[in-house]
Amino acid sequence: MRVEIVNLKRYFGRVKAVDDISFSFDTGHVFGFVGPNGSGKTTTMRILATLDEPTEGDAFLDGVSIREYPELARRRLGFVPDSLPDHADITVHEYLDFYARAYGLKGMVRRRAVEGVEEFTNVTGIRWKLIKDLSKGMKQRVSVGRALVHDPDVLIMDEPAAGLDPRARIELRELLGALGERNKAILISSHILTELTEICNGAVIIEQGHVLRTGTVDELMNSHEAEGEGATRVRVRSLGPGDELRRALLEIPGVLEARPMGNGVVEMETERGEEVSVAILQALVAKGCPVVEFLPLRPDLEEIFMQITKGEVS
Amino acid sequence: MKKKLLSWWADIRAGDLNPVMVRELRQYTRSRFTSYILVLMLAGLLLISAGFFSTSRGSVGVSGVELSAGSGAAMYGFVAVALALASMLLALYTTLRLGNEHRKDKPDLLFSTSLAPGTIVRGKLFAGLAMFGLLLSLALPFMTMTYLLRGIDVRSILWGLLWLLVLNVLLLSGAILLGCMPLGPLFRRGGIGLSAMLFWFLFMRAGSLVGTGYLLGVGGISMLAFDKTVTVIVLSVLVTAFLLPYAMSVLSLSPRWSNRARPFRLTLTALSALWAGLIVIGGFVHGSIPMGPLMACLVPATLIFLGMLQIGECVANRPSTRVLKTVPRSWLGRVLCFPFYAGGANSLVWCVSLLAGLYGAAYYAMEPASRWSSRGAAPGLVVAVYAICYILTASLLSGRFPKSIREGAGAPWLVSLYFFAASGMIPLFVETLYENHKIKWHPKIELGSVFAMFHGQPDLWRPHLGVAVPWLVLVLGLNLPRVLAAFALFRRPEEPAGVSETEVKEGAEAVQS
Repeated sequence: MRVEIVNLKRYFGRVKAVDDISFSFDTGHVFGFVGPNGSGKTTTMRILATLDEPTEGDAFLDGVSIREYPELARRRLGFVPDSLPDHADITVHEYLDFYARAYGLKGMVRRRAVEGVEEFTNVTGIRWKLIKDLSKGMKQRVSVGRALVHDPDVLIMDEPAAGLDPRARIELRELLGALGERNKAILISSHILTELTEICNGAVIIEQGHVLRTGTVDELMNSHEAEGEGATRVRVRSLGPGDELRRALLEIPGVLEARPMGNGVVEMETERGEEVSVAILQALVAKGCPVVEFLPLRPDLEEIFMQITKGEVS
Repeated sequence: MKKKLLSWWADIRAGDLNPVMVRELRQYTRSRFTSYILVLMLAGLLLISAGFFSTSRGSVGVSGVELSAGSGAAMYGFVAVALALASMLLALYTTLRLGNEHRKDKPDLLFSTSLAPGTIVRGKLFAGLAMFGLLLSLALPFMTMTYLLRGIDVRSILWGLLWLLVLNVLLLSGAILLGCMPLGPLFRRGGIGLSAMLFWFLFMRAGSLVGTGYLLGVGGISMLAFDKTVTVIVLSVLVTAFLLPYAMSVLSLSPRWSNRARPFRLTLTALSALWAGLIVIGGFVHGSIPMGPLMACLVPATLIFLGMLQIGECVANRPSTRVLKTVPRSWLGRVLCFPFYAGGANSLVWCVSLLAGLYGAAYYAMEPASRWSSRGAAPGLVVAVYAICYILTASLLSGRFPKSIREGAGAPWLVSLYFFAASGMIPLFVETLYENHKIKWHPKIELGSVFAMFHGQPDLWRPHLGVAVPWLVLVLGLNLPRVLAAFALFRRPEEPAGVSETEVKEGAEAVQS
């Protein structure tokens, strides 16, 4: 399954919420959708989930337009909103059962599907609890279960980790890992970029309705490095005091800056190139520094995001 | 057909009922609101029955029989009122719940599934009816008591219940429509208030008609004696009053990529054709149909059409490529289909054609023997021309405001309805001129006043026609360019866009399997 978003535009009067967005991702990919508040993430996701219509452009699931054939898209898409809408007087099981019915599952198939997602999302123990009585984390699990009940190929998740406590976040990450193994194409938006780096294979960064950068995580990092100012960050730890290590590092050619981080750890910025790193390490060893760790640091998604976005809203 | 029926029966046996109905019933039965309604209704019924029984006991004596005889009918009225009030509260709850689900700032997850809009509306309706059954089961023992108290027969009780059921269906379909329409909280609350008033009016009106035995022969009058004309009119109005909100609810929930105008316009066209047919037949059978009752039906029909047109305006959007693929290739086919496709100009053509047809039938039925020579039906013609003028002008006015119903626009509705209410001033002005500048105020300042003015003054049709015809020509001319522009764009696409219908069907089947 290939999901393609082609020249998508969504205007609300004069406000260009989404302005000519194009990117694609495939089955088995967990794709991060990153952007500041008001950048058009939710609007794009709502359009993909067929809850809204684009002003122009389209999205395709294996070549089938979601604009022209949304009913087909709905069968193959699952949407997890940032928060589960309030549903009074309905239990978790009934809620999942309703959506299974709504997607046309019948009889035993439906029962198995509901029990399957309850087990997968670990809500079996709370299946007879009312949804309104659940914690935010549990509601998010139910929401994921709802999106999975018809076994879609594509999962669209809008800020699923928003408002979750650390434990619930870790559980959600595990759930996403398990989903990735099920060969789903997942588009996930989140503000917690460190988590996205761990989960995602690729990412799209948008701002003011425009795509700033897209690609796999490696591609993004490489392109960031290629566009960088010529500095590579390296973390060095020695058995000696951090200040001594810092002084030693600053004497070595190629080291631009060094900052002690405590416990004998120093983070330095060096000129770019692996040869420079090798030369610095050799020089350190030659100086007799008891180096325990020498780790070139790659920029993470957060760093890339902060560097290329300006925090402006369309 | 047989296969379909068998599959339907198998679904029922397996418990695979309408998903929305199942969910609604689960929520209703668990809801505190439902419990409160049931408890309140029970308390009310107990109080009513206690009151009546104590009155009956106290009046044993010389006049005890008479008092007792009257008590049954009176208590039945109170029980019916309690039932109607409980139904109203339940319908209100339905509206609020549906409106809440359909709020713009919430993810409308119900609409991200493969459920058809019709299934959603029917599910809500069936669930509401099931809840009415629950209310009814609570009221039935008390209705039995009314029989024991005397003064009312079983047939009257059953007819009364039937009326309550019919009114409840109407109430529910109206409540669902209000819930389905993407209105702001203010519009929705206003709509709820108006609907409640309308329901109450209908309930009391039906109650009085049933009580006097005028309708459906209840209250000791023979079934054969009831007024057939009134019953036929009332029933046709009721059918329309149910079908229209139903079709409009489906229309409101239908996505833009579907030709959402079609089911609704087809329903109303079929109903209008039925009305027109009945009017013409009536004209032939009776020799002529009096203008009074006809206009009494047609003037409200015009109001309904105006409302429909406004909805057409608000959901006006050019049909998607997928929908345009269904447009016939022939020129004649295109012309015939044009009014049944989504779009503001299409809606206008449909509305005007329908109204012209209805008024034409009425004009024909008023004087079938000498319809071209007699001037007796001329006032009807003036009303028809005015009606079409109003619709064309309202359309022009509302076209100046944001149309998208999805974005919660309410202005086109308000503007055109206010215009419609105030536009009675135009015929009033004509009349003023005719009566030597003496201003004569009419309590009704809408289209109905035109008809009212003709009473006793049949010659008024000349000055009215003198104003109405140029007005018609003007608004026709102003609307014509946009209708022609819409028609020019309304054609089947040469190149198929995206995948073919067959491929999509195969894909859907593959996903299903």
